[in-house]
Amino acid sequence: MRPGPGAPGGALVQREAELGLLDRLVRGLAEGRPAVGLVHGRPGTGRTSLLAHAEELARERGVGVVRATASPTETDLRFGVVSQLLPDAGAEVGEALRSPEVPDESAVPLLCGHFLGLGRRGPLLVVVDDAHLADRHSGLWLRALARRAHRASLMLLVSTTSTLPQSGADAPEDPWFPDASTDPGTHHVLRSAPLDEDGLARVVWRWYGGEPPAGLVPDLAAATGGNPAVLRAVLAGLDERDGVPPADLAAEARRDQVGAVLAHLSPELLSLLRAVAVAGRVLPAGVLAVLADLGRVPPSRAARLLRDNGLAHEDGDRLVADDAATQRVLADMCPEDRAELHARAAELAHRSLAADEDVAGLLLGAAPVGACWAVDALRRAAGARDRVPGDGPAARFLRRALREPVSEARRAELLVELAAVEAVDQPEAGDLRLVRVLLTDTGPGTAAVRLAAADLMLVRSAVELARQVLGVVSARPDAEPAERATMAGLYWLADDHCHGGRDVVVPAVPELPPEVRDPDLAGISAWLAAARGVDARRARRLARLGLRAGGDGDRLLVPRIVAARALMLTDDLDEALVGLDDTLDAARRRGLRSAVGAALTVRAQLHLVRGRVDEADEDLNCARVEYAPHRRHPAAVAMLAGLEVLLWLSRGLVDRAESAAATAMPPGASQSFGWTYLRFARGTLRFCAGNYEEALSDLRECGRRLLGRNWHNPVLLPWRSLAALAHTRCGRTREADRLFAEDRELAERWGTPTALGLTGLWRGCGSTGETARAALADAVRDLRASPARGWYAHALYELAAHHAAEGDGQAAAALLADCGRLTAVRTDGILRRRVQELTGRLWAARRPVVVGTWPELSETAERIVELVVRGMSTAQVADALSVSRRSVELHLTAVYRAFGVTGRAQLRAVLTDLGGVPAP
Amino acid sequence: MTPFERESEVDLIADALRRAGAGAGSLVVVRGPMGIGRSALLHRALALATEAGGAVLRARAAPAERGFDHGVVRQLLEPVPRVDVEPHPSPLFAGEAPPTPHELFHRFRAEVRDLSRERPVLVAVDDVQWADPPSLACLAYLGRRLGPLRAVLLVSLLDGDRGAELPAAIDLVRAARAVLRPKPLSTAGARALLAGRRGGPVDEQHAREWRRHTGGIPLLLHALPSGPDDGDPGSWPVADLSEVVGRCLRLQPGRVGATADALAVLDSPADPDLVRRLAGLDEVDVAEAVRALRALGLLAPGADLAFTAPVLRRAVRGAMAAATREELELRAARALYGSGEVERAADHLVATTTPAGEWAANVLRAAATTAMVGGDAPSAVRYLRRALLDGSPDGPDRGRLLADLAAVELDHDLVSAVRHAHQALPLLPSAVERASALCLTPVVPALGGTPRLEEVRSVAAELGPADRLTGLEREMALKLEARLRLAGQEDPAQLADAHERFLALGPRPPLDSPGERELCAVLLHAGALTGRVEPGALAELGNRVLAREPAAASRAWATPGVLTTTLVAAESVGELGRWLDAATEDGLAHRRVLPLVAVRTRQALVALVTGRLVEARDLARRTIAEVDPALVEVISTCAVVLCAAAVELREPELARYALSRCPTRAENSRLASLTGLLRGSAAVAAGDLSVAVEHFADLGRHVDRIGWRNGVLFPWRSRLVTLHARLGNTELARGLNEEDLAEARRGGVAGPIGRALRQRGALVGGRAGITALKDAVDVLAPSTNRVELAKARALLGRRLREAGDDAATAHLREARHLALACGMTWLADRAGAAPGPRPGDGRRADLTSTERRVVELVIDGHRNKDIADRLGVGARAVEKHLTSAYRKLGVRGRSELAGAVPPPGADGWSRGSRAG
Repeated sequence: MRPGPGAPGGALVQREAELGLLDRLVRGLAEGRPAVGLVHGRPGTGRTSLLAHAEELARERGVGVVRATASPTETDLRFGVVSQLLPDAGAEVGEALRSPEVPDESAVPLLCGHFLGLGRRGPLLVVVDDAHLADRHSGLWLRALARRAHRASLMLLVSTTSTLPQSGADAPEDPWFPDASTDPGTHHVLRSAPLDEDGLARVVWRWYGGEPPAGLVPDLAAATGGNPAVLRAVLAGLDERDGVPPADLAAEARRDQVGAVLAHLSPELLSLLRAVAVAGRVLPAGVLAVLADLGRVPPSRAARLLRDNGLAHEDGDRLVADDAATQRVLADMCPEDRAELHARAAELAHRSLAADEDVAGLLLGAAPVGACWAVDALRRAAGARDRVPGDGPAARFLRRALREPVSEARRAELLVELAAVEAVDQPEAGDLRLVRVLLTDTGPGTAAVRLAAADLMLVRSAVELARQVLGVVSARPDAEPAERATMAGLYWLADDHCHGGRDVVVPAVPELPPEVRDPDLAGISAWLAAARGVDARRARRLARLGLRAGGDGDRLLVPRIVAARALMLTDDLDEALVGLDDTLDAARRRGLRSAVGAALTVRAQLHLVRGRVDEADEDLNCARVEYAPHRRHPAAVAMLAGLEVLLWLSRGLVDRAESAAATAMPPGASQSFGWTYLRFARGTLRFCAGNYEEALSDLRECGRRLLGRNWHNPVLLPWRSLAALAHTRCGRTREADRLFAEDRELAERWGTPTALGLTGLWRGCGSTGETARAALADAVRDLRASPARGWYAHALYELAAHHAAEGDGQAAAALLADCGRLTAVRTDGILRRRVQELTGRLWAARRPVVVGTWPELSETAERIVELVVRGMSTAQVADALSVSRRSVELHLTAVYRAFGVTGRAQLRAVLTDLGGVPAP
Repeated sequence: MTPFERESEVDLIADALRRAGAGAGSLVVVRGPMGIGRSALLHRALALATEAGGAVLRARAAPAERGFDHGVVRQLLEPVPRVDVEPHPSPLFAGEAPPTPHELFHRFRAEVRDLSRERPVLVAVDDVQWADPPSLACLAYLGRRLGPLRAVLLVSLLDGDRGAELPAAIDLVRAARAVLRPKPLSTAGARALLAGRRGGPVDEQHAREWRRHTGGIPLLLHALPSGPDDGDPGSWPVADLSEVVGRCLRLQPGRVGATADALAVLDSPADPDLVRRLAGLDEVDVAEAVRALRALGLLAPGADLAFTAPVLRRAVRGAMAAATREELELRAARALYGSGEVERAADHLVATTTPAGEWAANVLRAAATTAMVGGDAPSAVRYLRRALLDGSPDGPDRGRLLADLAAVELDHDLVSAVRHAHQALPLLPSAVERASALCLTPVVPALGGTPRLEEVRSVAAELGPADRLTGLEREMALKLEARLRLAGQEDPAQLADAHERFLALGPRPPLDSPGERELCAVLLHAGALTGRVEPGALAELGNRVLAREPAAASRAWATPGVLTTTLVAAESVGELGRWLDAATEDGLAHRRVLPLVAVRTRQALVALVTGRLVEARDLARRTIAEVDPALVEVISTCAVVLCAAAVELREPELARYALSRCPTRAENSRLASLTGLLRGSAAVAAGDLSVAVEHFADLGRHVDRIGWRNGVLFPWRSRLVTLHARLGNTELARGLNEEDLAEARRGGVAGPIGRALRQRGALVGGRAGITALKDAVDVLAPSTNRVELAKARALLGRRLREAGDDAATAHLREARHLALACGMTWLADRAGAAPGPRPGDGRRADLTSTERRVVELVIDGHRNKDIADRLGVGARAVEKHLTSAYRKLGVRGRSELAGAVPPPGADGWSRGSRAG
């Protein structure tokens, strides 16, 4: 065994003053000078070590030593402490010690006299550890001896802590040094305090005889709080017990310490400590006294006693229990009492207007209280914490609220709220709760809750489950017709999104009526119509109806999201965006993170169509945050991966797209639209990489899945045209033609500019000569009217490239300029690069004939051009270059002349032509 | 003897004894978890003391004697172990009035003191945590007053026991001069211990395993059978251990036992929240109990709630009453269900046998769904079977469960699946549900015969004709109609009716819903069998249907499965092949065993008809060997593939094997025709020609009667032609061949026409023969039937060579390449006039897709420049690709490329053939 801190022989750390004093006293004793030392401190602060040190010193100097440790088990043993000092005393002294017949009045003087006699024979050190635990008789004797110590060469060294009266905490304390007349020369108080980190580090270094393992010292400081006894136990434990972490060892040691103290706590103090342990952080000390039964003990004194014994400390007007004390005092109660105390504390907290979270926190420990305020407080507390994801307080509060006796309707509401909280990281649990809500008869007038449950389930992409449950629900005869109709609508929506799923037994679900007025059903019908790609006007009308009541807070979210998706297909991107923004707001307001994620994913797609890659990227990233990564629904995983692939492709970063496409898919991902989307994205990626056959295998499967679901809309995912193009590249023109023709037919049926333009664009890319030119020109015309600016830019480029190949540089340049403007704003990586490349080629070809070749410019002029092209005003340029506006204007005039242009816009266009416009 | 790895502890005790001998008594405490070897140390100390000539006082506290005041002290003192005095009652308790505690303490100490005057004394108390309180107080009193005595008080204390927490016990420890905490044994220690028990050496690996399973706790090392080196430690009997552990736990406060039980039911490491719910305790109680269990050594230290040694978990489980365990498993299931972990919840439910009501059925259903998503069909089946216990015995919920079970079993136990689907029928409340339960089973009669057609018929009748229905009802009606029509494929009248139905659907039949596609596929199938729908239409429509079917393996017995025959009959299997490949990927990803078999069967068929004979043979042989004989459709199809491959590859034993695997009794015409084909082919392969003639003739009569006329599917005439020709019945052969050609031309499929022409060429000879053969080659060149093309070319080549025509060489060389690609070495040998084999022949050239593309374009006669333009790459890149391709194919230049590349269709090459 290594020497511990304070083990005999080892120098004590951070006790220099005390050691010095003891040294002086013992030396004095050896020379016959009496002394009384009182070592005072909280349990575990090293009092015993100081005593041991003194004993050692005394022995070294040949001083006689007797010692005793008062112990909790001997508090009732008459003169127990004295009998430790004199174990083998016989005759009169032995009689006085052992015989209860001898009254204290004669025994105490006798014993005092005996010790003084010993002291007169030679210097004697009498050590009594934990004197506050001494039996009453020994206590009397000790104090009497202390008062008489100066009469012999006797040193009395006693360690104590604050006395905890056994009973009746209001009994007067018997002080050790009763009056001011006490001789300051002989009577000394030594105080022991916890170690600070430096002291602790020294102890640890000494223990290890060198540098301790890295990180151990801070760990120990945190675990032990500098309590030397705890530290010693931990260090020993680390040595002796493999694998037990320091914190556990410390807790164990601390627990034993606390246990020793608790064993002597009066009922009043115990009651207060319990109250403090339960509600110390919530209720002010004054209110705690109400909670505890303090009897006649003044609260302030009770609090002080707890503090002095290291059981609690004050924090403002709060009394906070020490962790170990909390644990121990609560563990010693029976569970019913604990729950009851929590319940009373919760009610007090509620009455005294404590924060909801505090009330809720107390309720967590209480049995059901059966009162309305409890459920309300728990719900409010959960609502306040719902931004903390997961099995955090919100979910716990709601689960607790569910244990209260509430009506079925109320229970359903609570379950939906809980499911919404759990959707983020325990979605399966949430889904099961929703199933329960959906399948339970909660009585009339509660349709809204059940619909909200269905909505929540769908928004999380749990379409398979939703289909199963909604099928049953929509066939329920007891529900109101309106609810049944909406449930059926949601069923068909779920059914529509089950891609590649297995066959299951289906219930008889009523069909959607052809015409609907209800906004929810309208939204769903709009999507179903749009996906089938038959009647754009009808889809648009229904979608608008579906989004019209957008401001209404209680509307379902999924129908609105799909209505917005329908509008994306009908080329009404602006309306779709507004609808999505509204839906997002509603979802955020209600704290439905999974709905926020779903809406953001759709908005990212929308931005992608508009060619706004940065915004799409941002939405995608936000969506990722909303969906907890380890708990995403497989469908969402696939969808996000697909979206990411397309985003990286737009940026021209094929490597990143490749790695996104290689994302591992969880089981079940393949039974969702997300998977279809991912296959399309992967097909596109492989097409871009020139792996046409592989691209085809993805695109074919994408097509099979879409067609299997009747999703014929050509704009939804243009897999067919891409496949046709891939066939063209592989030389299979017949196959390609067939697909192009099909695409054309579908586009005409759908009839939106985007649909028509896209089919023209692909056709143009897949053919040569006049056919290509005509198709591309049509595409440019159609797409100009379409909000899909990304595709428009593509069409412009392809037509320009066609013209360039045919030798019509003029036409190409004009188109490229348009295209360049679009790509400059929209940061479409691949396309911008191509545009620049083609511009460069054109430039090289026509250099001799074009007037505005890049002229020789002065350095200042070049800088001015650069800044102007960045969009700075003249004043800003002047500022930036620290020249006058006039000077800038002069330079600019020269520049315009040199380029042969008449203004900023033209300058920009020419520079774009020259590939000289920097990326924003 | 010192116990293993306890040297330092024993030294410390010896030291204390020595010091006591010198007049400095002390208290030594040995404490630690259960089974760590405290008593062993005490025994060792007693031996040491006796050896040194000391006196010993010993006692062992027991829970049963706890209420017995001073029991331990009495044990120590009675009889007083003085050698020179007769045993007598201790003076301690002598006298009339009971002494005061103080008096008693003093007397006890005095007794020890007196004894120690003569010689050193060791007072040893084992399991002091169970000592009665007065004895404990006595010991504590003594412990604090040992200083001047020649005595050592040695006590052992079980950590974590409630007795060890009593103030007196804590006091006793505080008074100790030394506290010993023996550690678990190291691997070396465990090995030594084991070796001692076995009386022989133990190998390191085994010792390590042993140490891991016992945590190195001596009690466990002793309590378990030493076992052979390769025994599975997870199955060691733990009954004795359960006894010990159970006894210890019963002595603890209720919360400790409850927590231990909960932990034993849950997986390790357990979730604290779950433990609380199982044990029915709050956070505080569980924390306390866990602390106690850690101290007792049952739980490992650290943050996780895990048993110290795996056997301990089993020991605690073993100590539980069956009812408790059942109850806890149910509670665990409920709790896990509450936190959404349905599969774990279901695992707990499966461990119980008590019906647990509707919620349990819901959990199990949800778990089955999750398991299926993860591709774990066996677990799903287990869950659903358990769920049947929880539901009603004859309600609709049972019907749905049975249907769910059927749906899950489809992946690996078709027989049960079909049985359960039918059992569900009478329980399901609506016709739509009954229909959808029926429609779970394969569309293709995978088990042979159509089971319980009358049920399908009655549900279909309940729904009424599809045309008058909408929505789901129509969908179901269509699916049932498809099944009924497929079952009627042997009845000429029904076949005719099916054609009427097909025509009524119009030129572009609706294909939007699965039901519509299913019906269309079945009608096309009938059209293909009877030849009423021309092959172009079959192929076009068939592929259109296929393009709407996601490539899921589970669909292999549904629409795409039905389409297989049709597309094979129309010789248009390119899209089908790709679908099957994609479905294989899906099936592997989701571990769908039976659907994969169905896919593979179809792949074998496709391989056969596209001339990849070896691949077809291998797929079919593997499948037929593995599969359950109940899957008649798979077996018979594979057998047909094997027989056909046997004939073409000249491997007669294959045919015999196929026949041996095939059911002997044909339950329906399709099977009858297949068996006929099979037997005939087997006879051919075996060289038993006249028997073969009988079989094929029978087959012909049979299919003719039903009205099945497709030349690809039923090549009986051409087989007869060959046989008669070989038997010398030339006239008969010629007549049949005429018939065959006419029939093939009527059918309009290239393969049969080419085959008939080739046979005519073989039969007639001379110029007319050569013309017929040339025609055959022309017809076959664009077809997928590479086998026939190879044969036709080989024959044409030989004839031309006989006629002295220079074109012979080219044909023979081409025939040889084709034959090798198909795996028909015999034919390649026959066409042996061609130049010797070149590197790259007959094996799949390992070209990249771009190289392949470039090579194809070169073969098709494009210049490098064109190719570069088409591929959107530079001319330099094309040259690079070509050079690489030359090297891989082992050819010297462009001109040799055509010959070096395997023919299209043979191994995934996609180009249209230029040859012929």
